[in-house]
Formats: sequence, structure tokens, C-alpha cells
Amino acid sequence: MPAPRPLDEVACRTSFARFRVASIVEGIALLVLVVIMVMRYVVFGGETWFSSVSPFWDQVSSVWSPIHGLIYMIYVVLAFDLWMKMRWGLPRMLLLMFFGVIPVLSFFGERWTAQKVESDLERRPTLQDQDRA
Amino acid sequence: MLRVALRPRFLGLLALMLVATLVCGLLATWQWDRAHRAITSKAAGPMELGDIRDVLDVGDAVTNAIAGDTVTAAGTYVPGEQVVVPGRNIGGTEAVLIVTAMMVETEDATQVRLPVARGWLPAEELTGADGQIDPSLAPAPPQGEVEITGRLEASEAASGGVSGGVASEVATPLLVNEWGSPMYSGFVSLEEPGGGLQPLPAAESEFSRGLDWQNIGYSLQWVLFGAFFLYLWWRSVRAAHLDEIADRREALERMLEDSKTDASSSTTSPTTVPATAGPTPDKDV
Repeated sequence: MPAPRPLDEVACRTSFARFRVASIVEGIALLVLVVIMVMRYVVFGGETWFSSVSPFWDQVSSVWSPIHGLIYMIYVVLAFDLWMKMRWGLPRMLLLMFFGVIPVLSFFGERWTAQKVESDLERRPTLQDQDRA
Repeated sequence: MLRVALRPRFLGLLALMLVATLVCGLLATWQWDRAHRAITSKAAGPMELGDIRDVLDVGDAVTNAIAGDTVTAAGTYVPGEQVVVPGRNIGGTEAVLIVTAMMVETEDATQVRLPVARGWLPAEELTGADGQIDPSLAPAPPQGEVEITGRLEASEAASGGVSGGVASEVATPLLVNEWGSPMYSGFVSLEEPGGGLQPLPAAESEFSRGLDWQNIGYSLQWVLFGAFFLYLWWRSVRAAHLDEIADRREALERMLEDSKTDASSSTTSPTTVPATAGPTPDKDV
């Protein structure tokens, strides 16, 4: 196995900063979506526990769902950017996409990714190593 | 690059990505079908749903799945509970709809009001001497127990109100305040009205007009996601391939440099070095 290609540390850190923001925004957006879904289908679903029905939550849902969809797409694009800069394997890209679809997981996923970025920048050669030397 | 792509690791990943793309494709077709649902589900014409009490519970919405289908009902018209809805244009004629409450007895013996659009008349036939619509000119409903057959329609959206027997729309939120509850949340439009009335044309909605563009959009999004998985696979193959080329080039450069320093001190010919340096590069560099 040849030595790994050097990473561009500056580009990697910039990409991670962007991914981090997207990760947190997506996490909050997903939680909001979960609340809306609970209100729409459980509290005002008209079945099982509660009998009341409210068209208000249908409307809220029809507004927020596409917005959340767009936020998730931006999240995926920024995850893809980070994944390319870090020269990670394909399974890790799928993992990053997966972080964004489970409520609350994206916050932990962001911390996990931060550790991976740090350890990889430590372990692997970077373009900036030569400048420092 | 093909040689990199055909490695077991990348072939395995390709299989995984193909499954993901396939799932996205299925989801895309599902949304595509949903977008065309209105066209396919109503293609066979209105369905006979039978008695309204078996079709709709009080308080249940008249959904797109059943709106426009035919139902029957038995009950008595309430003589005092009738409104006219003016301002309609039916085939170029200014029309006034006549809507009367019908009392239907449900299984648990409650009397439920069902608004029945008994038909329409040209506006001039209902215009009084003062030039205003006069609800008292509308024909009275038949008395006693009657059986009706008609098209089930969803309530129209209320914009105005009811005053003096004139309603702005055939909207159950308006009528329930005028006549009282319980009331079905849709209305029945008579197939064959009697007494000189004309039958109403079928109501049109965004749904009944056909394609649902939101679902078309979702369908395209799934196609996009599916393509993205394949693109990811191709990117990872390409990255591996480019890394290997760069590694080989570095190895070659290092060897050349080594051979230069060797050449100055020994008799080895530098021209033989590149032939032995590193593995054979791919042809599609």
C-alpha cells in the first residue's frame, strides 16, 4: 500500500466548518419536522389517542416539508464536499448522509466527524506539512 | 480506470449503490403514480358507492377518492331549510343553485342533515320584481320520505355567508350555522332533479384536473438521489485511480533522482531505469 496522498488541511478545515453548520441546521430542521409530524398525525390525527383534527398542522407541514427537504439537500452537498477533500472511502459518505435522516443523530454525527477530521489531519500527510517544516 | 473499478471492493460498492439507486427508482415511480392518481382513479367514471351512511360518517371529510362518485340517500326534506346560491355561470347561463337540507336517520337513530343540491334554475326565474334574487320563488322540495341518487361532492370553500336564504357558496361550514348540526361534511348533487330544475355539472378541483405537480417534483428528486449514488461511486473510483497515478509518478521521480546521483558515481546507464520503475501504468491515463 503506497503512502496516502497529502490532504489540503486549510481546504479540509473550511469544508468541515461548512459541514458543521449544515449539520446543526439540519438537526434542528429535522426536529422541527418531527414536532410537526407528531402534531399532524398523532395529536391532530383524529385517531387512537386524540379525536381532534386540525387543518392548521397540514398547512404548517406543507410549508416546512419542502424547506426541510432543501436543507437536507444542502447538507448532502456539503457532506460530499468534505468527503472529497478528506479522501474518505465511499461507505463514510453513506454514513454522513445517514446522520442527516435520524432525529438528533446529526448532532452526534457532527462530533464524530470532527474527531475523524482531526485524527486524519494528524495522521495523514498534508500540504501544509512542508510549509511548517 | 476500468481496472480500479473492477476490483472486488469497488464492485461490491457498486452493487450497494445499484441497490440504493433501484430503491430511489421505485420511490420515483411511486411518486409518479401518485401524480397521475387522479387521472387513473377516475378514468373509469364515477363509481356506485351505495347508501351515504355506508360511505361517510358524520364529520368525515369527503376525500378526493370518493368525491364525484354516486351515492344514494333516503330521508325527508326539511321545508324551511333551503338556500339559493346565485352567481354561477353554467354553460353561459347565469344560474342559481338550490340547496335543501335532507334529514337522514343513521343506524344509531340520530337525525343527520345532508345538504342536497337539488339543481339549478336560470337567474331570471328567481329574480323578484325588485331585481334581487328572491329565495321564496325557488320550488319547494317534495314532501315525505324520498330516495335520492346523486353525485357526492366536497363542501365548497366559504367566502361569504348566508343572509335571507341566499348563500355565497355550497359550504357546509355556512349551512351548519344556518340549519344546525350534526351535518355531513359534503353535499349530494342530484342526478335527475324534478320540478323543472337542471342537474349541476360536476365540481372541478386542482385534484380533478389531473396531474399533481408536487408529486412530479418529488419523483424527479428521487431520480436525482438515485443518480447521486452512482455519481458517488464513480467519484470514489476516480479518486482511487488518480491517487495511484500520483503515487506512481512520485515513485518514478524518486527513482530518476536516485539514478542521477548513481550515474555520477557509477557506470549504470540512466536510460534503463524508467523501464524498471514502478508498476505498469494504466493505459487510460
